[in-house]
Amino acid sequence: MNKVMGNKKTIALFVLPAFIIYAIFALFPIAYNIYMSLFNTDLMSGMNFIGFGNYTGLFKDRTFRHALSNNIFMVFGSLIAHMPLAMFFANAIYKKIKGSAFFQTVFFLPSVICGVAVGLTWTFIYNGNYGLLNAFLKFIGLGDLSQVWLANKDLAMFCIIIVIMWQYVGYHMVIQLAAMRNIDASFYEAAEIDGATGWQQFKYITFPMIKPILKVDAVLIITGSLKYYDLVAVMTSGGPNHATEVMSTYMYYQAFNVLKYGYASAIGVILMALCIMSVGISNTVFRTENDV
Amino acid sequence: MKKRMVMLLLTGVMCIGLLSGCGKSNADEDGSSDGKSDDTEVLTMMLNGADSDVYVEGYRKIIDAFNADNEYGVTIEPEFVSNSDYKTKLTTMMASDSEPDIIFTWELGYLENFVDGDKITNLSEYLDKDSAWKDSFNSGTLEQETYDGDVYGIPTAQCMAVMYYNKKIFADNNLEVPTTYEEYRIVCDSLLEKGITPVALASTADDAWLVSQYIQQLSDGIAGYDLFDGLKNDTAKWNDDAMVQAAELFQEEVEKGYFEEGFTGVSGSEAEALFQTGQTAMYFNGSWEISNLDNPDVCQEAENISCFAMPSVEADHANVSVGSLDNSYAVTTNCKNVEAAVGFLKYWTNEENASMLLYDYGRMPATAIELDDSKLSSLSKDTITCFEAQEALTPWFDRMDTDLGNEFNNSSIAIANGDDPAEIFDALQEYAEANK
Repeated sequence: MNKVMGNKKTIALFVLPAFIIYAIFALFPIAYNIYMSLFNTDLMSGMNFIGFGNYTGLFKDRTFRHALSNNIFMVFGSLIAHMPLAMFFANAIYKKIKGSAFFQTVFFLPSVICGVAVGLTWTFIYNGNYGLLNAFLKFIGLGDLSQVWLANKDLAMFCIIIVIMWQYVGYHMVIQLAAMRNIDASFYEAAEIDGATGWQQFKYITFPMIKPILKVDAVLIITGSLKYYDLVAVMTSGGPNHATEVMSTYMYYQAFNVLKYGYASAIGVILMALCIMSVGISNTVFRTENDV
Repeated sequence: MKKRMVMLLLTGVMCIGLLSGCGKSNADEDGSSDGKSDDTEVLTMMLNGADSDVYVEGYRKIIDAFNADNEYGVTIEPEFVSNSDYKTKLTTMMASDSEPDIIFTWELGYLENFVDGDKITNLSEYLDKDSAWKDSFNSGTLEQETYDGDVYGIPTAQCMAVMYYNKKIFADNNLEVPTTYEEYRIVCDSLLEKGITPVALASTADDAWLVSQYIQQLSDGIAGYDLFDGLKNDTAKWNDDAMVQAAELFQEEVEKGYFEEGFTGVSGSEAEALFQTGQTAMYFNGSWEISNLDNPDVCQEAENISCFAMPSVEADHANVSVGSLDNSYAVTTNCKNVEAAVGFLKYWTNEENASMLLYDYGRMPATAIELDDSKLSSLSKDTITCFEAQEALTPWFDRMDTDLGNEFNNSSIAIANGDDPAEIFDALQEYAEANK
């Protein structure tokens, strides 16, 4: 077997089927998308080559700039919220508090629910007339604060980010928890004998040991936030008046509502470039000694 | 060596699995289309409507009758798609060359996108061949689907936006139908005093056009048809004073509470339900809603509903309303049997079917028919009276120009949420200039 696997041709043969499928569904569309972003086209009346016209148009486009800033807001919001919060939960469960298995399931549950269902549920919670949130505010005597949450251009984005946090904190918790469970228990035993406090154990054992996983997690959070689509599409469709538009929903809007497929492709290319860039950045930030 | 054989064998099995996976689905597809084309040729058709829309029943009747017996030996296979999904679905199909043979379309700029893309069959020769059919269309209807002198779409109905009102609520509160904008304000104010919400309105992203048609109606009453014409021909600006004034009037109405509380988060169907159940006194929408409002099965207050044309702000511009064609159909270049498709549209617009749609479903025909008042529902009759009184109709902006119209709808949402109208329309004008 080792002999076979050592043969480069055999490896190529085995990789080929997967590679072909990958090429058809990922590589070719990416290349075609880049090509299309250089044209002004509605895919019907022919393609009109305009070079980088779509890209220069994008940076003059107020809505696109707003969508981009929403994405960046989401990246930082998710990073700040997910990393420490998920780590806090993961550490608590790792320390085997009472009912930790139960909490693990409860925290993880939202991330297995389909995004559309989550979006619809929260749309109802935020609803101005029969929403749970307004009813709760009235119940505790803060009825003055009640409003149509998702129609408020200043608050809608926060409302969506809170849902994203709620949905994915468990997911990141499980990733970090898995990393913590891989740490050899003897480290902690030794630390305890040396009289290390809980915080010291976390700071000098747990955190450094899970750092490589945190890197993966950060990449997941950043790329996830950049290409985020479903909750925004379900909850606000980018409205009111583009206030919650993110790059992916704006791409959809430009392609399918306004028929500017070339322009939409350019948004897609920028999205991809940003994702690749962010992977590079997080690789540098979370560089561990092994990697060097 | 043995191992190698086993591996090759396994690889072979995997490949066969892949191939058979593809093969099977192909066989299925062939099987299903074969099954039908054995009997007759199938023409696919995509229409706008959800099963909850009462008029869909009427459309099905026409299609079934045509399928039962037609000289072309074809079967029309309809697919109904709800209004909010229709545009996305059609544009996706168009862009991937998989459009159905006959499509529902809006007129003006919307259809023009597809005509420019060589996606739509020129119907002029078919209309010219049958002058009786061509002449049966009301004046000004075919023109809205004419590009470079050729007709590409067949209108089946006409429509306008009217203010539906609940006669019982009006009578209980001694209110008269308003004939001027001041009177309209007085009616709304007195309803508010009685604790009744005057108007049902929706303003979520998918139903943005409901707000924008209200603002457009106000602007029609301020500056008349000229404003629309100017915007269409690029001689007027979106930040025209009349537009800003219309938006300001609308915001005043919002502040006074003319629309239900929290309407900015209410969807179109929720708003309609408020009116259908008598929780609001009025509801502003197109005449296509007649069949959803005068049918007691779907509307509690069916017997109490009537309508009036929204009174104009300036007396000079009375009788200008938002309105246009309704339910136009076009034949795509994908269609192999244009003769049959045109035959079907001819059948749809014949006197018998146009009358059926009018009498049973309140669809005002785009063709001239002999009107039998006794068969009209009272709401249809009132709507036709409003319609006939109009001197000019301004089509919805998102039909005039898909891109700008969508942006206008978005701007309307911002105005409903209290943003400064002048700023919003300045931005819209900027957008219009940047996207010429």
